[in-house]
Order: sequence, then C-alpha cells, then structure tokens
Amino acid sequence: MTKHTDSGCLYNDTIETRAREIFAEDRQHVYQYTDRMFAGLMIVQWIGAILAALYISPLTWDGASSAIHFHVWLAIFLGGILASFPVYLVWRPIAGIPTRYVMAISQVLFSSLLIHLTGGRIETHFHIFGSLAFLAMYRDWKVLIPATLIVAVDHLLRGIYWPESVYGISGVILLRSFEHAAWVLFEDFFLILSCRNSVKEMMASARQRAELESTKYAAEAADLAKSEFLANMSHEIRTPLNGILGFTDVMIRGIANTENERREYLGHIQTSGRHLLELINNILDISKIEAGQMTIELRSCSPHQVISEVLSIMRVQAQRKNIDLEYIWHSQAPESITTDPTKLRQMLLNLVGNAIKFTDCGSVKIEVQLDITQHEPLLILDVIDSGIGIPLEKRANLFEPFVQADSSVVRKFGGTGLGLAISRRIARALGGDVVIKDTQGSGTTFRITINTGSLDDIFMLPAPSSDALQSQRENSQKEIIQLPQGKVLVVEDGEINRKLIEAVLAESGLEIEIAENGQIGVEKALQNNYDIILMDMQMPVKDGYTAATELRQSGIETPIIAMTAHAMLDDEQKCLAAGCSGYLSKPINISRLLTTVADALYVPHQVDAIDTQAAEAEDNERNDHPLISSLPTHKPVFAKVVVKFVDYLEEQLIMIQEAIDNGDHARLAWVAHDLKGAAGSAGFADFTEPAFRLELMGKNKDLHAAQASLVELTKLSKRIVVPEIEVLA
Amino acid sequence: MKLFSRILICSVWLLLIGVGVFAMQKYSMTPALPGIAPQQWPASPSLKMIEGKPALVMFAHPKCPCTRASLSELSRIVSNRQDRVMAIVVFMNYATEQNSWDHTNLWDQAVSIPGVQVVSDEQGELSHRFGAVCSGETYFFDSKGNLAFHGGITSSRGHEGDNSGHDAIVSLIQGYATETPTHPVFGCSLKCLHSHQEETL
Repeated sequence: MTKHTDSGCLYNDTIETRAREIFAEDRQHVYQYTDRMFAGLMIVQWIGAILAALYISPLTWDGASSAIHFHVWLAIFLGGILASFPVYLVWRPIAGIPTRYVMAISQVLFSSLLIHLTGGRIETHFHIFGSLAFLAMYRDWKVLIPATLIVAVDHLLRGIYWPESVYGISGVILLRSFEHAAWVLFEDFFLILSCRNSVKEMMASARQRAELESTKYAAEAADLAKSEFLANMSHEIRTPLNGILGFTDVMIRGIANTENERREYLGHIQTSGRHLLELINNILDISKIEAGQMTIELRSCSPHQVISEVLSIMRVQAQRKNIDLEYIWHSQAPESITTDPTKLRQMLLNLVGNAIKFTDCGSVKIEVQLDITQHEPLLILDVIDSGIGIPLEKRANLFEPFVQADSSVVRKFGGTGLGLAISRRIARALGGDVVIKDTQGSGTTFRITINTGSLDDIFMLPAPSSDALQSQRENSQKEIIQLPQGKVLVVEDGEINRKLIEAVLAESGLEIEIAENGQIGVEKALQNNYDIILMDMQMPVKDGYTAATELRQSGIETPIIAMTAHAMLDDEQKCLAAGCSGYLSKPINISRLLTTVADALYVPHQVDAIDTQAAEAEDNERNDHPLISSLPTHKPVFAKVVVKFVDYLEEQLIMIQEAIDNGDHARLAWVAHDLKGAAGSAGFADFTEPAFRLELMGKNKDLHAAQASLVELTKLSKRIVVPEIEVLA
Repeated sequence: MKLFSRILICSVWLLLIGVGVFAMQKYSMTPALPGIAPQQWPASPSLKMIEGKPALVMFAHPKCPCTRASLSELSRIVSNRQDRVMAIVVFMNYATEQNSWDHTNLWDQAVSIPGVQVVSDEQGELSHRFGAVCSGETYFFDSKGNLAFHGGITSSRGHEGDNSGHDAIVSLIQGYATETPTHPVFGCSLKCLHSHQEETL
C-alpha cells in the first residue's frame, strides 16, 4: 500500500487571530468613512433646513408687520444642535461615545425637523427610509435600533395624542401606529440582512487576506530561512570537505609517518565523508518530502522489533556517553501493526540519536503505549531524555525545515537541523505527529504518534508497567573476513570506486577483472567464467540494468551484485527485477561489500567490521556472544514467547532447507517472511536481515546465496539463550 | 474621558434637542385667539349670500405661510362640492402707496381652487363685519344665513391633513349636523388692521 504525503496549508489560530484583526481594522475604516459621509450630510441637512424654512415660512405676520418666522429660528438652532455634536465627534472622537449611534439619533430627528418644516408633506417622510438605508452603510445592524425606536415612539405618541400629524386623518386607532412601525421594521429586516451579509463578506475577505499575508510571510521566511540554510550548509559541507581534502593531501604528501598516524588520518577522512553523506541524505529526504514525493509503504510489522532494532543500533552511541538506553511498554504490545517500518525506524533513529546527542548523563528512554480510545488506534512512543532540554521560545520553529534552533547548538553538536522536520512529516504521513511534550525541569520528551491500522485479530502481548531493557555493553570487535579464491568482475565506470573495490577485494584474496561500462562487462562475462559480478547500474554506453538483463537472457547464472547511488525505496526491487542477485548502495560500505560478496560465494561469515556508530547502524554487526531476547524474559509471559519461538525456529529452518533443496522459491519466500516477523516479535532482531535476504531470494527465484543465509540463521539459532523453565513456573 | 463626563455631554445634547422639539411642537400646536363671530350672515354690500345655498368664508393674510395649509384644506373641502356651497376667500389688503399686496402666492393659490371666489378686503371692512382676527379663520353659514361653524380647518400651524374643522364643514355641506362647530385657528394675526380700522372708524 502506498500513499503520498499532503503538504496542505494549515489554517491555524494565528491566521484566525490575524483575520479578526484585519476585520476589526476594516470595520473601523467603514465606521470612520461612514461617519465622515454623515458629517457632510449633517451640515447639508442643516443648511437645507434653514433654506427650506426661509423659502416656505420666512416671516410671520401681524397684520402688515412681519418678523422672522419661528421655523427659521428652529431650523437654525435645533438643526444646529442636531448637526453640531455628531460633526464634532467625527472631528474629535470621544472615547466611549460611539459616533455612529449619535449619528443615528441625530439623523432620524433631522427627519422629524424637516417633515415639520415642510408642513408634514408626505414626500418628506421618505427622508426617514433614506436615513435608515444610509445608516445601514455602517454595516452594524445595532445602529438601526435607536433610529427605529425613535420613529416607533414618535409614531406611538402622535398616534395617541395627534394622529393627524402623521396619518393625515383623525381618530386613528393605535393599530395604525404599529402598522407604521411595522413598515419601518420591514425595511430594517432587509437592512439587517444586508448588514450581516456585509459583515460576513468582510470577515471572509479578512480571512483571505490573513491567509495571503501568512503565505507571503511564510514564503519570505522560507526564502530567508533557505538563504540562511544555504549559508549554514555551505559551512557544514565545507567543514568535512576540508577534513577530507586536508587529510587526503597529508596522506598523498606522505606526511603521516607511522601506521597509527595514517589510521588516525584515514579515520578523520572516513568520519568527514560520513558526515557529508548524512547531510546529503537529509537534504534529499527533505527535498523529496517537500516535493510531495515521499512514498509510504504500509505493511505489517512488529513495533517491538522496530524499536529493538533502533535500540540495538543506538546502543553503542549511548554506551560511549555512558548513558542508559531504556525501553518500556505501558500497555499491551501488539504483535504487529500496519505501518511503514522503515520510516518508523528512521524517525526513531533520528529522535533517539538527538536524545543521546543532547544528553551527557542520565538516560534516554523510549516509553511506548497503545491508545485504543481514538477512532483509529494509535501507537504512542515517547522519547524521553534527561539532557539539556529545549527552551520554550525555541520550540515553536523546531519542526520547520531549514530552521535550526540555535546556531551555537549546531556548532557544538553538529547536525543539519532537518531531522525533526523530516520526522514530523513522516509521522504525519503515518497518520500521527511528532510533538514536544511540556516537561518540568530538565530534559526533553518528544512524542511520536502513528496510526497502527486495524488491530483486529492481532495478538496482544501483555506488558508490565515498569519493565525496562537496559542497554548492554558490548565489546565491538573487528574481524577480517577471509574469502575463498574466486574471480570477480567489477563493472564500474568510476575510477575511484573501481580502485576502492579492487583494493578491498584483492586484499581479501580475490582475483579482480575490470570493465569500464556495461557493454565491456557483458562481453567479458560472456567470454570468461566469474564467481561474482559487481555491476554499477549507472554507466555510459550500456547501463547496469540492461547489462544484467542481457546476461540473464544469455544464460549466465553468476551472482550479479548491483551497485547504485540511487536512494529511492524501490531501487533495490528495480535492480532485482533486472536480474541482479543482490544490491549495494553507494557510497560503498566496505563491510557490507565483503558481507555481500561472502554471501554470494557461499561463505558463512560474521562481520563486526567497523567501530563507528553509523557503520554499525548500517551493517547489523554480529558476534559470538549468546543471543538474548530483547523482551523482558524474566517475566514468564515473555519467556514463554521466546521458548515458543525456539521450537518454531527449528521447524522453520528445516522447512527452509527443504525449500532450498526442492528449489521451491515460493515456499522459501513465505517461510522466510514468516520467520522474519516472528523473530522480531520474539526479540531477536539479528534474524531479520538473513531472513529478509532469503525472502528476497525466494521472490526473485535466485537461490544462489540461499544456503549461506540458511547457515547464518542456523548459527544464530544455536546462540539463542532459552529462559529457564523454573522461572516460567 | 470619564464615564460621568460622557454621560453628561450626551445628556446635555439630548436635553437641548428635547427643548427644541418641545418648542417646535408648542409653536405648532398653539392656536390663535379667534374673534367673535356673528350668528347671522352679516349684511354687507360687497359680499352677499346666494339664496338657498350655504356659504363658506375664509379670511386670509396674503403672506401668512400657515395659510397655505388652510387653503389646501379649503380646496379639499370644496372639491366636487362647488355646486353645494358658495366658497369665498377674503384676503386682507394692506396696500399702501409704497407696497402692493396684490396677487401674492396665496392669492394665486386661492384663485386656482375651482368654485372659490376670491375677494380683497379693502380697508378691512369685511373682517370687521365678520369679526375675523387671524388668517385661516373660517365661517360656515347654512342656507338660511345661520352660523353653523367658526374656526380653523388645519390640525396645527401650517400642517395639512384631516382635522375636526375640515370634517365638520364637510358634514355641514352634506346636510348633516356637526358636533364640533368650532376648531382652533392656526394663522397669522390680522389685528393690526383691525386696530387701524377701529382707530379710523
């Protein structure tokens, strides 16, 4: 099952808050704009009232004598009172006195004045309806309330005491007053609807603008962050490059006089190269995720196995710093869940690696629990360290790509600053998230949640509340693999890689022949007998895929080991589909190269080739110490699981042998797959890789190296320490 | 600004508005004092009743703005009833050598009402006979010359619309009795002329 991540825009509280700010600003702007318009109208109405009074009733008469009519004075003074205060408020707003309400009161009273001055003309009554519509320009329906109330009360009182002044007839019943008020409310209804719709539109517009702003700021921030990131990367890349080039120069000039010095310098070069590789891998990962190209391969896997593998890988790193690495289940442990184990492992490696990196003493703990209270069950993994902790203010952007929490931290501890961003995106793609939990005091807790898929029919292993698997000190050893006599064809266009492979394999006693491209490789393979072919997949003239396919079509059954720098998940499958027997990713890891060649030559082997953490992570080193299950077997329930597994293992190994003898590819694949899962669940991660190789061999119908893997499994089975029966009782 | 100050400012503003509105209503609703009307059609050589027809007489100041509403009401009363009543508008004439009072807007308005006779009250003779003292003062005499109504025909100063004076006259024209033989008059005063007349006489 494959699904793609979705990097959609999150609509969060910040945007909503900003949208509300914009809305408030817009609304204030509307209020101010309408206030100004009303202020102008007030002055016009005042002047209009005076002119109307002067035109309609300029003088009052007493016989032949005249005087200024009362209406003129009324227009001047009452009009002035009505207009002056709201106009003043527009000019000099007084906090706490909403101008628009004063405006509403004034406006409707102006209607009354104008109606009076015009002798109650019905035409002048339209001023009220126009005023209400104008008030709706405030887009605040509450403004209509005082205006409507004044109209209603005025009509009610007039209806009672002086009906002719409004209705033009005497003896009006009270119902007529309500009818007039109802017509005003009729207009109000539509005005209120209009106001509310306008407000909604303003809010929607504000949200859009907030989102645009957010996007713009995010783009600018991303641009800035990328610039800073490039500057950092430039520094980060130059530092190891400087180490590589500098020590290489030292070696070329022969400055290193002793073997110890040479080994030390080579160690520096190797460390620098690995750091560069980590940088590039992270950049590629985040680029793929950002481009929406990350693919998730969901399949059934044992969470316990994945966690055990991670602990196994990180153990040496923890031991170096003398800190405990613990692993506790707080709930029942599902035998298997549906997720992408590779991605889960990557996340855990990242977070546990960080935890160890930032912890100088104390412990790093993985606490796991199953949450079945949600709609879909979740697996919760808390990675808890007792390290330096992360200040609150630094947490906000910690998961952002291209953002590094603190440049001083980066300088001190290294890293690309991309690990958390990658982890969060992976977790989200797996139906969960990665967050920092609030913790009191020192230390940091990262919580990973992932979707487990359906747990129906999944066997649950009961887990004690405080069992912990303490990390165990292991003595890493180096072992030189002795390869038998054999002839190897190396098809590789890169001169450096050719020389490296030639040097390593020749040292191991193999005879090497070189082909510079796929065409030459095919010709040589057809003309000579080789025990193994190492095939680069990207070459000029003829690439490795074509060459491997041609060789298989020509009946060549020699094991072909693909070598490719492609980091895509399906690349291995592509190589196997082309007819290759195995797969090596570039840059070539010498231990893995030797192991793979040994497998192809049917040589049982054990490799603890390198002593650095990254190599251990990649090589799954093995040794001769007894194999103890990573389950808490001092508890009977877990001990039973191990005992059952041992019985089951014997049967499986016999079945594998039979499948190899009978050439039954399908059965081999099925049995190996089954063994792989069971071993992980039983706490024996060492079985995973050889079982997986056998599974692939079965699937690809290529059993050349099957016997070697079976021998390896058999040896591993003999090292298993079975829990005591008495303990079980 | 403190809450008290804000309340005070708003209260003062609303109080001033209240005073203004009260004054407006007070002025609008305060009638003039009508004169003493004769109970019978006063004999006058310049104005005679048509026999068997009731008479409606309105006295008007030629420039009183409030009388515009009275004339409008008169128009509504007479409209379609010209044949049932003799309608007369008597305009006061304050003409002097320096100042002409002929053909004011109100005069033109009155002339334009169908069935209404417009006369000028030279020297205030008619107003004196009828006892009219303010513009818009209206008299209705039945066909026998008996006074049936005396008062105004607007509801307030310069305000058109139905009112009891209007309703009373319409009832009388239609041959019914009225329970309200009077109604407040809203209009400018004619009394200076009367004083002058009285002094002259």
